[in-house]
Amino acid sequence: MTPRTLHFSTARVAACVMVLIAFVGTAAAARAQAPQGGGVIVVQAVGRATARPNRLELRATLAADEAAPADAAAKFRQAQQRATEEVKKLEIPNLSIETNAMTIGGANPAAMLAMMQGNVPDAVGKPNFHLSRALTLVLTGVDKLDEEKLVDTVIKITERMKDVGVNVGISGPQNMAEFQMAQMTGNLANGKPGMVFKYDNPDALREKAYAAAIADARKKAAKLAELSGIPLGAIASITEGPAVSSEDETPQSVNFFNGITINQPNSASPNLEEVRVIVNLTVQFGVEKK
Amino acid sequence: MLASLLIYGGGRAGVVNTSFAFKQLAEDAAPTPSTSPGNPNPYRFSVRRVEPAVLDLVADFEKHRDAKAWDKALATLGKLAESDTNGMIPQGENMLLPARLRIRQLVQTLPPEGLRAYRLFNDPRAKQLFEQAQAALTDPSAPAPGARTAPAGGEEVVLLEKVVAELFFTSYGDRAADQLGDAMYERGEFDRAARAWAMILNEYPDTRLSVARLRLKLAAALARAGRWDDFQPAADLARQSAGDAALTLGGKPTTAAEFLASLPKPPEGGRAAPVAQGLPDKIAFPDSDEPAWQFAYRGPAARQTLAQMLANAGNQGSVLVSIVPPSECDGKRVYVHWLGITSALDVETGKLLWSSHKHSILNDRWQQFLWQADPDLFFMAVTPDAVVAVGAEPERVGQGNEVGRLICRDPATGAQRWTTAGGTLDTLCATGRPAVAAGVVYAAFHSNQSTDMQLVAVDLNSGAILFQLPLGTAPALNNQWNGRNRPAPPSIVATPEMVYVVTNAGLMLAVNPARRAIEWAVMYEPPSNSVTRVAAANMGLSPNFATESPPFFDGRTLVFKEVSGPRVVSVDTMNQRVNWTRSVAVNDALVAVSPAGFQTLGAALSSYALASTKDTPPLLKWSSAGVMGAPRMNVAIAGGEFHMFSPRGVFRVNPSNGDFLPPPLRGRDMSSLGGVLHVVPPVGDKPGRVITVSNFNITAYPLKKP
Repeated sequence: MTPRTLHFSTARVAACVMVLIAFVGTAAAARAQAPQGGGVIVVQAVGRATARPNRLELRATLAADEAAPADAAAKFRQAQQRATEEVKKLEIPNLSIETNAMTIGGANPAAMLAMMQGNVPDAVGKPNFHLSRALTLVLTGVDKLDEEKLVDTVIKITERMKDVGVNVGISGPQNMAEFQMAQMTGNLANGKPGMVFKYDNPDALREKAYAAAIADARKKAAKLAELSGIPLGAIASITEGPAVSSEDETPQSVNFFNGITINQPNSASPNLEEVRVIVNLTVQFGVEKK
Repeated sequence: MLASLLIYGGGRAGVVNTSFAFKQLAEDAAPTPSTSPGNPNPYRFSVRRVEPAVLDLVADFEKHRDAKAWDKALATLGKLAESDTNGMIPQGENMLLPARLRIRQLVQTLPPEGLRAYRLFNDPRAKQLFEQAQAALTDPSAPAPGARTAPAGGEEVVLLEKVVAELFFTSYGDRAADQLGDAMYERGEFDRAARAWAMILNEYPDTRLSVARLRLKLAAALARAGRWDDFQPAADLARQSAGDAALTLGGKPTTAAEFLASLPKPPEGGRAAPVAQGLPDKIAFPDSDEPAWQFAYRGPAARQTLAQMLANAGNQGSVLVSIVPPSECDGKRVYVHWLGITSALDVETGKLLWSSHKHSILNDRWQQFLWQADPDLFFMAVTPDAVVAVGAEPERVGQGNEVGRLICRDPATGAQRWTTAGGTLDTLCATGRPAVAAGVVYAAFHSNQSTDMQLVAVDLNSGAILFQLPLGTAPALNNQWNGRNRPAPPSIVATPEMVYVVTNAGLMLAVNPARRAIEWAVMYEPPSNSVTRVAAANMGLSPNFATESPPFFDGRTLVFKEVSGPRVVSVDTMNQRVNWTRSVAVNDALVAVSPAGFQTLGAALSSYALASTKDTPPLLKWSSAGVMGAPRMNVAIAGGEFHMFSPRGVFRVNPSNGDFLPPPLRGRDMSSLGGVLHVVPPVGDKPGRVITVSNFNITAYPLKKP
């Protein structure tokens, strides 16, 4: 395997997909915001910034399920301690473990599901005391690892953590409840991503994308002004549109879940690929009087 | 233990009569429906209990006794004798005793003046029986009036047992018990001898026999029985009682010190640990993942078929895929009982030495196993002389009439010695873990139409049925897929003197095979899951929901965890009491027991240490989470380490803190769920083996020479 050279791509300007030239009286919105005495040029521009991900997050869960709450707590504590010790024993630079949300008490999910399915509680046993915690194993500096080394490192981490009972990289439904949820959402094959590549400074990346989008807007507006024989004025307004995710960079909603539109810049990926931040701006320029 | 010392009775109406009719205790255990009013827990195995009227009479007796109304108290005993006392009576929180034994205990509670009244009425009959026994001793051919056939031997023994059982608290009871102890000792039945002498020492305070002699006899019997825990305090007491006085024992003049010194000595290092997986002190695991051999009992075709079934049948199919067959290893051969196919492989080469059927017989029967049979109902016991398998015959699976068979084979050739098919037990279904002791196979049977369970004793060599003893009624497990209600399969532990039946339903029965009777039982929290593993899987529960693990027995203490049971239970079989119970995860299997504690394996390998105080349940010492997936797993103890076979490979675990000792032996069965591990130590030039039995393969790895 040939090591891939790490690169940090600079922002580049994407092609404009739509150009609107609006004069006074042609667009209500433009008219409202038009500089006094002149028209406006409105363009839509896309700015994209990409970077090699430099942070890998492995999502994991720890759980203890016991009839006696004290046993559940003791086993949970020991499991967490062993997981932490195992991370240290791995001696992988830049690997850390973050503890996240904890669920305390209640019946185990399988027993609850059985009851949901109409099975009497007696038939599924007394509910155990359940403790679980989401963990994130964070490996930073992955942009400095070649692909082969990165794969080896990920395998080493996941294998060793599985040995000590840490469920790493959940990739499919783990019980009937998740199975049913996955069926409902049509996400049966993949379930929740257990591994996420991230760029740890998305604000800087976004800033680059903004700059690229503004530059793109200026370029388009200047060309339109030139073709129209009118002098281009200053930027009168900027509206940020929905994020763009597809390669043709058509503005669109990224995802729908329960009717809520999620406007999520693509700064993280379950795949080892460049992290992209794409911004879509509607920029209105004034037109100077001749 | 009062195995042979039960009181039986039979009264005469109209008079105060406290002698009790002699009836076989087998009747005590006659089954009743699981809805028995005396058994309020529907998930508990139900044995026959006495009618509430008997309990009322017991209460009346206690009332009259406390009021020192001897006439009324003895009259109540007479009524008890005339009542139907064929059943068990609860005693304390968790014991069940045959009613007649409980009544004997009532007599024991009489104060001296009450006892005098009791003897006034009962001594004449005791004297008659005792004198008949003395006559039989001098003339063994003399018939014993009313004597039943005694499995244990001579007529004098029958008569002495009768006195001890029915009339122990009369003026002749101590002498009868002493002579009974002598007879048992001479016959090599040291436990029974010890019980007889202990009975006098513990329950007959006004005996005129020499306490020193009785204590020395008791110590001798305990030493011969290898009961070292009991021996030392008994020997100390004997030494204390006898002092330096000259005695005659066994016809020889001696002193207590000389006599005790002549007895067998306890083994070096104290008493033996309860049996876990007795393995060598030092073994060296291989460095390589390369196996010495591998045998796939699920061939590629079977795996493909099963994968398709899993896709189609979902959870239900997952049970079939996850089966880890029962396996045993005797050092030469590894035996596997795979869905009715019993096979033996050579430990060194992996060669299939014999197989009861061709494995291909299963190819067109997977659907039947999925929908009509229960793949969890296969069991096996291996002795040096026999392989005893329990389960349906694969050729009959799916025909709708399959029942579990008890089949005995020659371990070297696989030749079938006998089967319960076609005989008296042809229509009955064998189920659960069988046991073999003193040339007798003990197994549980029920009919396909009911969950009434019986213990069947079969001669190991001939297959002849020695006796059938009704045990009671097991709760029916909810069996959602083929409509049959099946009982939880019990696990049996057998010794020559006592058979313990762990019902896997909240009750453990102690059966005396000589008397063919239930002698006592202990209750504990039963599994509240009344479902089979397949049904559980259909509910979305884990397929390894019902983990099966064997009971551990060291000759005195029986430690077990029932399938899906909420507790590990420790029973002192000598003193007939529950030592402790400890709550554990219901999915866990009990995998090791030692004098210091026990270990369970489920979502984690957990170690529990016995508490310093007797009444405190064991404490959780450590727990090591791992990936455990198989419904049948074990822990092998060797080289001072625990070893277990998980889906992640074979792991070595530090027993003191639960740390996994790197590196694991990943091996060549990583797609399996893990399972059972056998360790065969090196012998001479032959390398030892680590043998893993998973839900797919049997794989052997070479051990390094330590």
